[in-house]
Amino acid sequence: MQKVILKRLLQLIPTLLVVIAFTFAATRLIPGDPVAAMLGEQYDATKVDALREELGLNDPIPVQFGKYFMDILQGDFGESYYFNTSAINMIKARLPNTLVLSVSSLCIAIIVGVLFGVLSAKRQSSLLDYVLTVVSLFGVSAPVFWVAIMMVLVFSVNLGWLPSFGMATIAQDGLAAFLRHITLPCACLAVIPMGTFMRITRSSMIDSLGSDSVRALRARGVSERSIVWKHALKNALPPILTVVGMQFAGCFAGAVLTENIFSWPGMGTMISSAIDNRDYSLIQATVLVVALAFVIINLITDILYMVINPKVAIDAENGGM
Amino acid sequence: MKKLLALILSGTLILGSLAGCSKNPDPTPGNTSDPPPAAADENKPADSTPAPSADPGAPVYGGELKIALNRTINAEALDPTLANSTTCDQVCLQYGDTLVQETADAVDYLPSLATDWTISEDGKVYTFTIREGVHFQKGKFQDGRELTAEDVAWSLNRAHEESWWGYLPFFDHAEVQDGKVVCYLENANATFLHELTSTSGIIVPKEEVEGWGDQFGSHPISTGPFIVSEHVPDQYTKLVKNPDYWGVEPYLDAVTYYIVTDEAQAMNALTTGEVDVVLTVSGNYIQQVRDNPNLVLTQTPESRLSFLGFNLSDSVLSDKRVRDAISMAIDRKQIADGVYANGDGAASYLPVPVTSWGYDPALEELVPAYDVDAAKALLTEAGYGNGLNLVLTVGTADAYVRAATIIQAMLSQIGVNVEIQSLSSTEVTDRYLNNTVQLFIGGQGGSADPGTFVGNFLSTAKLHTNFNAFCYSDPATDEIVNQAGAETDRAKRTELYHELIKEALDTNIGVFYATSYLSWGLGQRVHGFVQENKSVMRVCGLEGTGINIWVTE
Repeated sequence: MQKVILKRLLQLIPTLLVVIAFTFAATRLIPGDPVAAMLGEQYDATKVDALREELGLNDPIPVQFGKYFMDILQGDFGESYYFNTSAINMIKARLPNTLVLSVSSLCIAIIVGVLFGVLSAKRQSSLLDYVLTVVSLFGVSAPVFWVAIMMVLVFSVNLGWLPSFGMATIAQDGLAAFLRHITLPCACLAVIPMGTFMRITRSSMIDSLGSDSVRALRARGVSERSIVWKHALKNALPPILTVVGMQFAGCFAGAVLTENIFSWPGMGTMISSAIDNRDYSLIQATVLVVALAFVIINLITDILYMVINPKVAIDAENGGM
Repeated sequence: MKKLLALILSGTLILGSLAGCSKNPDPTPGNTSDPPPAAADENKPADSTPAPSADPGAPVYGGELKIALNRTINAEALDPTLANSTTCDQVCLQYGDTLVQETADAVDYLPSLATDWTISEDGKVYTFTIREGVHFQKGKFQDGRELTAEDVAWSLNRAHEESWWGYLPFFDHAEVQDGKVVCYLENANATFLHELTSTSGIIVPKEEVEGWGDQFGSHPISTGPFIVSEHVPDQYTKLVKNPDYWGVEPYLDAVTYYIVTDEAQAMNALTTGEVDVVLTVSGNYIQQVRDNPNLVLTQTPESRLSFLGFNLSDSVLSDKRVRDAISMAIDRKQIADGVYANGDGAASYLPVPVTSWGYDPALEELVPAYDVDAAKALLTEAGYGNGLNLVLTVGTADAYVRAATIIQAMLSQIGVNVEIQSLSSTEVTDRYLNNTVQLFIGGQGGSADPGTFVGNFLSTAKLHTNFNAFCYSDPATDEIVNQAGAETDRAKRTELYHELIKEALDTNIGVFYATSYLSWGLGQRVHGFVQENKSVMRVCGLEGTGINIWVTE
């Protein structure tokens, strides 16, 4: 298995090289000049050239890329033009906020999704199954921004239970304030993965519950509760786990929209303001971090997959992965 | 499995406690216990008279005002020389003082850190007497020492030299003579006092600026009624009352500006009482505020013009007959009705807003009257009887895009086929810079001084910028622009600007179709505000202005 992990780690290098080249090219391809964005309403053509020179934007594109690439190798992700601070510091400040939101959402999605999926599979073709199937379909198909607006209208504006924007921390504002602020964005972000988990769990559990091993357990007189939660669910886990990795990455990306709607100060609000301001360094660094998170999460998922199902590891060592 | 879940949950909580250092307004949704609304402004404003606020009794001291801002403020932008948006100005002008301030109608000036001033005959030397007994807010590098004339001269010289957009381009230097601050201008410029009222004109202590270096913006110090106590980029900026303020004592203990970039969310927060003020209410949200008995809407004409510009250097639009035909085919009243249905703007005709002292309704006669048949005939005469294709560049702001579609429909009546290209502001600016626009819709903000409008539109120095994407350039006109800028006599300046307005209309550089209105939404607990003829909401004004916001709980 160590060999497989090492192989996967080596595969990360070309992936990241492609990401670096791609984000660099993409930021240069967005129409609009960062200098114009920086100068804002005070835009004055006479100041443009001096500022472009200062920011190195007058260099040929290959030279800019060379400098950027060498800087990255030295751990320097550049300065954010707009925020006038190092891009990596900006990310350090924002990443925990996004992580807390996406990890909480993922946890809720897993708990609720798996629970409902199991219930649905256990009572296949019952009224409960139909209701939960409709709920899961709604989950995977409802647009996040619409869900967010509806939730705010109901829970903040009409009922007055929860705040409609902003973030609180446990250290500064206490646990209650933290939970009140995170509930709506978290619920909103959890809707899509929850639907996905529910659907995957349901189909995987139906297979598992119909398998020969479960039939054998039933014949031995093992309690139904124990069969469902201990044996069948364990067998049904691998496909669910695969989806966890994908959904976590999805939550991370989905946070861009959710954070903007709820004014949650994470990577999402940062990257959208970076794009608005043509803040090249910050866009590049953020995309690189998100891409890195994406591949690492997938790597961890693959490793966990091998732990749960050793057959996968053997296949991989034989060149199957 | 249980252990795994417990681990994940506890991990989430730990991350939560680590996540940034942030704070949010104590959410106390709903303010239904507030008294019923008083005179919520139901009608469109007829003039620039500040809107009256509800008066529920004697003002009370204490409390916090929460204001929603729609754009992020980067950490350093609270340094007056780095402030780059109206959002920054909203905060900076509460902690910072300038030499003079404008009156609510932005026509005259009030003494602030300068108690009086004189202007030399040639308009090139301004001498200010500095107020005594004013102290800086306490900081790391000085302990609230008294403001001196040297501070004023140093601050103005710094702003002139260091602001990255070239603050006071006509300024030479400031120095102290006999305890007074003397400002020397390279060329006389009548907008000098107006420029001094802007954020860049805030007076700051040298030792704090030098001590903090490029971090000064995160720890700004001046002499204003409020002190910046906490600034968390992208989240909020908190200001607390300055106990040593030299002017009128503020009623409020604190003012917090929250960044809420989504307008719908800002309105929700206003409805729930999480914020007290939304300074950028637009479109249908204006009606929403009007309809809500717990909210107050105030509107005042803004010094902001909306216009359809012609690129005079374009091969098609260089023909004046084409420009005139387009002007004649546009019904300004219809645009205003369609775009500003919520009372957030009104039709206007001249290249200065109706709030400007340079606006003379008599000049409206020079604008070609709405006449579709005459427009068609003129287009045929110009050789475009079979139709014409033009590209209209516009930003993404709703009001401009709606105006673009109405103009597109109007021009189709005379056979002009308009392709609308709606782009981000940076892309639009790029097109101006590279001179790749044909028709364009723009909005220009300024002051009551016509120099900030028509003076810029016709200035060669402003070519290919937001101000002069018309590509108008004429040395004789430049001469008048400079003369009008230098003249200190208001009557003479008015005459010169009227000349420039006539020139803009004769040449027909664009269709100046509307002056927009500034709309604020306020919660019922906010009192003592005056909506001035500018974008910034002053929380505590100078004596005699009547501005000192207070809140009821």
